[in-house]
Amino acid sequence: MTNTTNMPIKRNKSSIQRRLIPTYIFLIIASFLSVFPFYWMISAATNKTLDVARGKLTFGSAAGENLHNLLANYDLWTALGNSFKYAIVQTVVALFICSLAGYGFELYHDKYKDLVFSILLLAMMVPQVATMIPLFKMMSKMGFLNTVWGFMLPAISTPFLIMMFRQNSRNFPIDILEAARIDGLSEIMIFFRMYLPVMKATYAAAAVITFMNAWNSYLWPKVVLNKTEAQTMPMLIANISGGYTVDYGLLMMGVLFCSVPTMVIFFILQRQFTEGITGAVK
Amino acid sequence: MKKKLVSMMLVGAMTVTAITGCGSSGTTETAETTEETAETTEESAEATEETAEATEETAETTEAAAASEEGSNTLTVWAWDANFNIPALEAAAEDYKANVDSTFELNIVEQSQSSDVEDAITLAGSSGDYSALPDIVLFQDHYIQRYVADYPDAWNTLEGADIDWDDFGAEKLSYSTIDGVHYGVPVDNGTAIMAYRVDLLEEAGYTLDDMTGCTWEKFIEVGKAVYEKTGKYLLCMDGDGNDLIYMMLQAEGQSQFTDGVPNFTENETLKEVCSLIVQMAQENVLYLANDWSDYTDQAIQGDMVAGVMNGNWIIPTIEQVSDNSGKWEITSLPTINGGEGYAANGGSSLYITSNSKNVELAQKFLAATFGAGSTATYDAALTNGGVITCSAKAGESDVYQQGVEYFNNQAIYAKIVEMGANVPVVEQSDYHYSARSVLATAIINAINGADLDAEIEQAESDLKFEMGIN
Repeated sequence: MTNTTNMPIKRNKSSIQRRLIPTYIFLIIASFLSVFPFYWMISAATNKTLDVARGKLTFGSAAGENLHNLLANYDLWTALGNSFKYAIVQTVVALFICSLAGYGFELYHDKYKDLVFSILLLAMMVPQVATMIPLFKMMSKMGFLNTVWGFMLPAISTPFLIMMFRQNSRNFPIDILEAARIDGLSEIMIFFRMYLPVMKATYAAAAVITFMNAWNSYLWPKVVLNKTEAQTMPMLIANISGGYTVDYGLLMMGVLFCSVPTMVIFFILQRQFTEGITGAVK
Repeated sequence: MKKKLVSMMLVGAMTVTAITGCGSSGTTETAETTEETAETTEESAEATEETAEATEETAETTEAAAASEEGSNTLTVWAWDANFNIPALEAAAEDYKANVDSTFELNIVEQSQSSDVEDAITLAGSSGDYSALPDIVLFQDHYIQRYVADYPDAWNTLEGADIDWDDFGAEKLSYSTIDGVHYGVPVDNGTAIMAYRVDLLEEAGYTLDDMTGCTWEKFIEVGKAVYEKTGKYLLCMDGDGNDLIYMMLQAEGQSQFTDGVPNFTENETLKEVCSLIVQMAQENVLYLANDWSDYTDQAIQGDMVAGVMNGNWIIPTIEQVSDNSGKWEITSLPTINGGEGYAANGGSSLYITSNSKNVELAQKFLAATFGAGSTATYDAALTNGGVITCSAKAGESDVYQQGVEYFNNQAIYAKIVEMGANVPVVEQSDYHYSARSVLATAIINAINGADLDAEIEQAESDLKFEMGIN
């Protein structure tokens, strides 16, 4: 009796599991491909350059030596400090400006707003290299070379972020807005007190994206930052990897220092990141 | 469901990134990409040129962002390679401080590669705003003529500097002298060396003397014997950026160009050089690496070879394999008809930019240091960075006469300076690297079975197309 009732359920379970096998195989391969470079980076940072070049994949004992050489030959702390400074300032400012814009575009009504938004989207179509020289001239004239302003000004208002905030604002309950107005909250305070807490997930996703972009950007910083004291981590890594002979152990130690902050930030905001990307509102 | 889909897309995107990440490699590739970017920037620059001119006046009034201020005792210099050029510059700064002016400061800004400096000049030249440039830049020899021609306003000449130009090898100076005017002071010496693993040669029954001044035919014979006995290649090169063609041709006193036009199909020596390379690769005498990192990391540091031929800056790479200390020695290049061959490959010089407010100080500094005003700079540059001078006077110092343990106590530095004086001057072109690239492709195709003559013809027409010549 028990057998007959249980049979179909069992078959169902195993057929579901069987159907999942290809998915798991795909996911295992994908995770291997994603995780392997990280493993290799860490293992290479503990090996001597010759071992790395010869393809050694296991951990070595040269981590201390690589770290010592890195600190002795390169100004790691300055570069790391600069990268943090530039990336954090850019993230905070960009998030504020773009969320305000996205909020305005979605929740206020004006007959020209779609036209303005289209123009904004057009800006997205212009490749970065095309604006490089005019931007450089502007920064140079304004005296912003080698400053945090020169680094972040071109990137604080990106059509992508504005669009992301605008899209996600569609899920913002309009009732809250109206209730706040009735209760006499000023328009700017509605943004700070009502909109901001509700859109936390979107902010988290936008923060991860902006921080990573700012942290990893190379071409533009290379153009505006031409002093050793102003250089960022990617520029430092590029310097280590240049030259006739590359010390791979030292290079990977540098890369490790460069990757850890973005990884930490991603892991902390991982849950909010997925929610923010999918447009969840709490 | 939506979340699931997005997660799947994210995983997919990460996989794609991971795969493409694995594919990228080598400094040459990065260099090429940067070059491409530079070219794109150049194109867009043309569009903005008009605006540039209009605002040029304002540019001149703004304060210099990078170069040192007028009247100060500091110079700023841009250079690349922390293990090679930068120790040489540090040595020069020390020398100048000790012997000329104790208050002098040299601010060295490290660049990741030579193309960084090239891109910065392109950017400054295209925007008409030179204020971000430093006082002095290190610049690749093969590119300087093109950059002086394209951006004449970016440079200051060395007219009036107290430098004995006759002291330097004529070949090296031929790069930095434009229309008879000196623009740069040589730093390193690009003289090509032919380094052999003497122990492996002996194993195959040959000595270094057999190889000095031998013909390429003999070289191939020895190469086959060495490969048979030891399993190692007697020669290796980056197949992607194949410098063998240029060096072998120069050793014959020939160029790939005649009067600024590519001369491949009518050039019998070039054809012979190419067919020798193809033959060597097919008979396991030459290992043609896939790219630069394969060449330095796998072939040389991976101990696959018994011989290396390249500019002497390859020495530190050879020395990475400490197990082979004492087993290497160097000599001149083989030639087609026998006799010692001399060539040069790579190298750079220091140039004063138009943004320098201290041209006089910059000239004085360069003259007193790399201009061989004192030999202390070159002595320390050699000891700390392995940078070899092309000044005959500096090459006479004691440091140069010492034997090098790694090279079986041979006095390789004195030997290189001596060889450097014999390098024939051949016609140079702005399209040096383009020529290298099309010929490298021709050779790889020929190794894979294509007809060499047809490939060379194709290479010539490709290069002419790139240069805009019909």
